[in-house]
Amino acid sequence: MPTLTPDQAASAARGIYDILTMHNLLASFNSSLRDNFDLAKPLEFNGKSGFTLIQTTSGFGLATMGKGVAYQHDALIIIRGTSLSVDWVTDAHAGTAVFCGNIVHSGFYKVFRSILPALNQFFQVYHPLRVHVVGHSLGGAVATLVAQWIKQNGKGEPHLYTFGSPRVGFPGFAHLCTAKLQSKNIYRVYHENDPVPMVPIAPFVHLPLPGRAYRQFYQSAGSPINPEAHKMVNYQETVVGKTWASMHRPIMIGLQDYAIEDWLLSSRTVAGHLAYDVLHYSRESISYILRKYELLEGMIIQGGIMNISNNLDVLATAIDAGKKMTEEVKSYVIRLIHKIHAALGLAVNTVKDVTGDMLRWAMQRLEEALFKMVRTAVRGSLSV
Amino acid sequence: MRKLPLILVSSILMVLAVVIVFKGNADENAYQVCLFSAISGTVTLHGKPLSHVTITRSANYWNKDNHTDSTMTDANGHFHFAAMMVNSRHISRSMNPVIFEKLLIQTQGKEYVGWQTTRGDIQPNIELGRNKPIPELHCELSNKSSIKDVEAGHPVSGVCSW
Repeated sequence: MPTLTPDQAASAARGIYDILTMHNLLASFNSSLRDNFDLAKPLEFNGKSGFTLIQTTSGFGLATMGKGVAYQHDALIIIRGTSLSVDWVTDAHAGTAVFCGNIVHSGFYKVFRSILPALNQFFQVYHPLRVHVVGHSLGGAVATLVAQWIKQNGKGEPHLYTFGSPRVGFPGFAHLCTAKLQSKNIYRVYHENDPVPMVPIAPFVHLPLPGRAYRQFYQSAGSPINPEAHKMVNYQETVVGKTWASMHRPIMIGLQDYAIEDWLLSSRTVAGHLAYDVLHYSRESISYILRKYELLEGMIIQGGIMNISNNLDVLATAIDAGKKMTEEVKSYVIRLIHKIHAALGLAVNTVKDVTGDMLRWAMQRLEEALFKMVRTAVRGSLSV
Repeated sequence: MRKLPLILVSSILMVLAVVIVFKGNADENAYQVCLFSAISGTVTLHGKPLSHVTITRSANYWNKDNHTDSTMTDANGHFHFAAMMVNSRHISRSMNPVIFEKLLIQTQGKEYVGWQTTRGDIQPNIELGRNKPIPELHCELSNKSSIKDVEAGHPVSGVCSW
């Protein structure tokens, strides 16, 4: 079997959290992994069998080889991250690093660099055809860098499996990975209402781009964003017995204009119900409104459509400068402010004249609400 | 006229007392976490029930905060533990708790691991899947310790089966 099943991937991502308790690690993985990968004991000095323990101050994991007819040419690498402050996700101006000529998050890159010597050691001994790389949360972000590194350095054919991973890099990196790893080898599982995959905010994006992701519902479709949805135990429960084919959905770049208009005009937003669509659509609405505005004023947008903070600034500045708005554009801005207020459970006053600050304020509150939930979601899971 | 301040003071004190009592109660429940679900079973050796066997349950969070309790099997070899609930602010706040739980059976100088697993959440009855209480265990000490798969969960190892 060239691909891990959702159950196998989930058991790997869950089991790696046991690595610090240091009891029999074999009992941390389901038989579907135990029977097919060498997880019985750590690699002995000069030994031929056993797993390689990856342990640095900022990263943990293991690397091991498969066994039996089906997996003898496969390697399994499971990553989990530790000791990184939660600032990595909640900093709107996240630090960046250059990896494979593209921009990635500096926090994830730092953890990746720390485990690189252990990975190099592993690949000096073993030469697998395929490498399954698995991780949950921050571990998923680091696993993404590991998979790209494996491909870039010809260490095997990487298959990447992530659960609730944050976004790793800018669109350039996502496009590179999509081309190198191929969309079919990237299994990004996320719960629609897990806050962690929603950060770092744009221009960070997920991979593959474009491509497919594997969406599951913790609670039900459209449920409010909930830190509980980030728990690995909950991912394990939602994927049990599923096939990849039953979970996959296409991921496209941006939204169609009509979908944004529909959302802005609909009254679907429930008071105090901060669901995925509010975050996703309000950001898209900014660039949509800007495009409408731009057509009218002949403005030039700096930085491209992916850059939300820039878009917001351009739009807010244009409004404050008194650039002429059509009634249509103005009504969209008012609708957007209303919808954000409603989702945050804030009282909505009748807005007659919009200002740039109103829009900025609303978007900032929205971001803060998201960041608060991200901080809750990762609390206690990074400590050693 | 003199009584008025006294009434005032005593009513303020009463209100304060009520507030303190309620706040105390609220805190008591706010950080309740389950480290080990209710668990019971029967210990046998070659099919014969063993009485007066010491059963010790332990649980820890990320290898810290070790909590233990113990009991003895009755004349029929039966033991029972209620859910192990503790107050811990930091465990209750953790969104990805790794709680290692272990049930030890000690008899005639020998020690057997009856049940061992890791729980990834703080609610009772999650070891075998959400809201699934642990069924009665059969702990036959002549059995070899084995690892049992749990659907949608973490494997459980030890001599006990269910």
